[in-house]
Amino acid sequence: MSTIAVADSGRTVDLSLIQRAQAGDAAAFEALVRPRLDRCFRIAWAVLSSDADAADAMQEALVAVWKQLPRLRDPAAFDGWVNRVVANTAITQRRKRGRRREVQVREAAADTDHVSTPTFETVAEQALIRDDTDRIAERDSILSAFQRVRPEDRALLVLHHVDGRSVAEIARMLAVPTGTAKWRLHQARRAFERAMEVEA
Amino acid sequence: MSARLSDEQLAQALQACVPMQTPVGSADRLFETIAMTRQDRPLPIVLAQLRDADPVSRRRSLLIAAALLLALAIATATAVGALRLLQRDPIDDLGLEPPADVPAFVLSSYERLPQLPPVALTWHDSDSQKGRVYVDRSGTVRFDRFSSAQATEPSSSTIVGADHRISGIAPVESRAVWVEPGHEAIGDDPRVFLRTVLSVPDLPPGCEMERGSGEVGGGTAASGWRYVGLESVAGRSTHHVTCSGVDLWLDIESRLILRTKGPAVDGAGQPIRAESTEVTEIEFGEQPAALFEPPVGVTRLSEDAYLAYLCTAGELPNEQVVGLGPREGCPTEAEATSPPEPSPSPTPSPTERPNTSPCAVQPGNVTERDGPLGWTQASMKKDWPAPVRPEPARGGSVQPMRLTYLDPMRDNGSEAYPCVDIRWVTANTSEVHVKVDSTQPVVDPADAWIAYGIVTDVDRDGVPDWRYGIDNTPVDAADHGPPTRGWRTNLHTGQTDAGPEHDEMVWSAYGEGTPMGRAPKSVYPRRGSDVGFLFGGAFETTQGSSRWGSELDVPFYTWASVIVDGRVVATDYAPDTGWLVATGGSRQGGAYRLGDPFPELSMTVPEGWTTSSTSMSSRFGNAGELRRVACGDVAAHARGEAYDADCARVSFEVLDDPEQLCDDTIEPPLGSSFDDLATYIAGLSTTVKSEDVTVDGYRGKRLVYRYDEVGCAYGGYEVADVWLLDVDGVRLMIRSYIGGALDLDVPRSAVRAEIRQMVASIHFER
Repeated sequence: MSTIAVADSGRTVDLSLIQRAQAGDAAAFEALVRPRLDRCFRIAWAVLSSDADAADAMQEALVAVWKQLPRLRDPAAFDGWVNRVVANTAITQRRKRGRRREVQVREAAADTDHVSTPTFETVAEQALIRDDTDRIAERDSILSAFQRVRPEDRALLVLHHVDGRSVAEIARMLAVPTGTAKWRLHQARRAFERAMEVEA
Repeated sequence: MSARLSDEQLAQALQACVPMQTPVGSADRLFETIAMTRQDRPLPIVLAQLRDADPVSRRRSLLIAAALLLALAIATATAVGALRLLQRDPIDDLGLEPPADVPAFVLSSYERLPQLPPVALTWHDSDSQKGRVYVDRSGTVRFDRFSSAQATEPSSSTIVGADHRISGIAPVESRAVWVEPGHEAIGDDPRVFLRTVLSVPDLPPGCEMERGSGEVGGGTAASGWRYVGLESVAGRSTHHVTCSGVDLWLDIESRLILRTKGPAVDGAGQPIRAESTEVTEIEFGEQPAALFEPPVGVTRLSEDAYLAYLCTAGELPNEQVVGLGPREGCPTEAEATSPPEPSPSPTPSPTERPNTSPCAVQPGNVTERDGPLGWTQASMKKDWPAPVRPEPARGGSVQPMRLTYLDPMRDNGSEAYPCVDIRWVTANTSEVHVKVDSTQPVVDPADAWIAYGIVTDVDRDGVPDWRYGIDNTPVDAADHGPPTRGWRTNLHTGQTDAGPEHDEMVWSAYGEGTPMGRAPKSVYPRRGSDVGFLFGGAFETTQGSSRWGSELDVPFYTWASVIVDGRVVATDYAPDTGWLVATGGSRQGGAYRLGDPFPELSMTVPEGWTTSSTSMSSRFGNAGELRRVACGDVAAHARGEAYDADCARVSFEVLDDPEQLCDDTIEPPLGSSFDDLATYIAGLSTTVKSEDVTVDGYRGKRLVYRYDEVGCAYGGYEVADVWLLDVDGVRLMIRSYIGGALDLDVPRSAVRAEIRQMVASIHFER
């Protein structure tokens, strides 16, 4: 029987799944995490801008989540904790990647089997087929603008504007006051808008 | 497009470029990995390895505990100590009145464990773990573990016998089996291991529950405990005592701890979740003998067979594993399918005491000596031609490596050679760094043959087994390359394996078969006055960390020596007698020192930190980073299992070039003064606070930076501190990084306060 708890965010958390996963039930962990994979991937992708790197970071982060899960004291905080681990892992990976920034996204994508998920380039290529010229140009400028924003800010934007995470949830994820999170989100948004202005 | 976007426009824009789905195959890869990955369990106990699935660690912990307890017993058995104990321990006070000496009352809890009469008890803790303990009259203890607080049948049982052997009952392929007693695994009364259940980890100073080794009588241990009141726990009368937010309820009659509660606030006063353990049922009296014997009709399994099963069974919940020692580690998949590699650190056998005569006879076949003691081309293939340090007949003592081992100065026999006067040693299980009193001269070995090294005792019998060294011998006859060579010598056979220059594989055979094919390295001379030896390390994969090389987890000492005109004119050992041994995990708190290329400084570091393993990074040779061990689970970290990507670090850097912070060019270029740099960093958008500070008399800035980085290349996702100090014109940057996962076990604010205290304790040598 599932035990549903309402987390601070207002979202529901399946406590029984978490408890089973904490007890070592890998199937419960899969049931718990599978619906969250896309969000985790987007967070990692926002930081790393590479499908392959984001997939690696997501994998590393979620393995860490699995290992550390028995020590999570507040199951209602599960989502925020997972987001934070994913974001931190991606940032750490980006830092490790450090000076090999010359590795091209296109080359990385070409080395993978992940043909179904668009990279910056493949998005543009698909757009060439589907969209009219104006929309292609606009999307291209969005991609370029997004790249101009700092990775951490990109993660915030994706969390809030793509995944619909509230400011309060983001604050918990960052372990900062809500006002600080709101301010950071505002700054991230302004950075993106300024980048859009440059790209326009 | 307008510069100001509505929420809807922004969402649409982002959705246009952000991939909405996980790449095909990622989920399968993830869950396959999960199925093969063991979780890190929270361990509410100090000697938690008893309940851990890793028999090697478990045995190691038992042996360590036994050794510590033995040392404690010896110390407290001294006449003076015994007298003073009698003076202050109200051992005979069994009344309900408050104890006259509360600290002694608390200390008596652990001290009386070996006298614990037969008893059975059940405990629960705040992590919903449950256990049951039975003690019989002989002192044999049975620890039952349950898979949940609701379970009525134990998942497994570990019996620690009065004969110092361990046996138990555990599921093997879904059937309960009796694991036969193995060889002697512990060295003390089994009842002392009740402290693995009834304890509070990380007690603040003054709140100890046991005396430190060597401390007797009226020491300072436990001096902070205060009486609260008389209370009943599990139907027993207890004295409730408290110390810095930690509470204990001690059974008045037996002194057994029946309830513990950890602090509810951290060191910075921030509320945290208090951990607790409580005995919910307890009954003194004889226990059925059957509890400690193999059950009737149950399959019996030898210790070896059980350990072999554990190797093939994959990861099992800790609750299902009998706490048995020892095994040599399960073979890896590669090992299981490939011919065995040469032993990475062969243990010479039989052990014979090497030649330690004062004359400089090279170990091995003396007939191979060619001429006077001194450098020749032939020396490049040989060991250092001086004897190893003499050892006492019964071997020297072994002391755990501290953050920094400080060696006495001017003890090398000649003040003319400070380059072989060892000042201090830092080491972990991957690296050893030796700091000497002056930089190493680059001279012709025919003029001054200078060498540095370490000696190891692989089989821990007090007799040196291997000598590793690096000296100023040219690596080839044509004098190409750096004037260094590395070697190691089997001190029993005299066989020397020489290697090429630094930063290359020194002992190639040593590293064959290891991941990435790496081998131990050494560094000489460094730009400062350090010598480094690297034995192994870790590299990161998406599956976690993997080690290469070997672990330096055996006793060692370091040495430095110089030969002039065929005579040894100066030699220093650190330590001068006895051995050091590095272990994984945290170190005892204490002094930490840094020297070249840093301004020479010392600082006080609390327990829980270690010198960082920098492995193959460009920092090799620089002991310039401290790391807070894991996120609370020290034992798991020591086994390399803990996820530590988000733990705390403190790094030290001398900023010769500020652009080393960044990948980007700083425009306009910065000036070379401290103020130029301080102004630049204080002006970064991510710096939220900058204030003037003084550290040990040197001016500087303490900067608080936001979740990005100071400059470009570093920083964490969390708020942290950076100190920028002007040390006689040297721009020293001290950066702290506090990771995101830390708050699972350790309050972030407490770690931040720890780091600030460490920096405040810095003392620069002037």
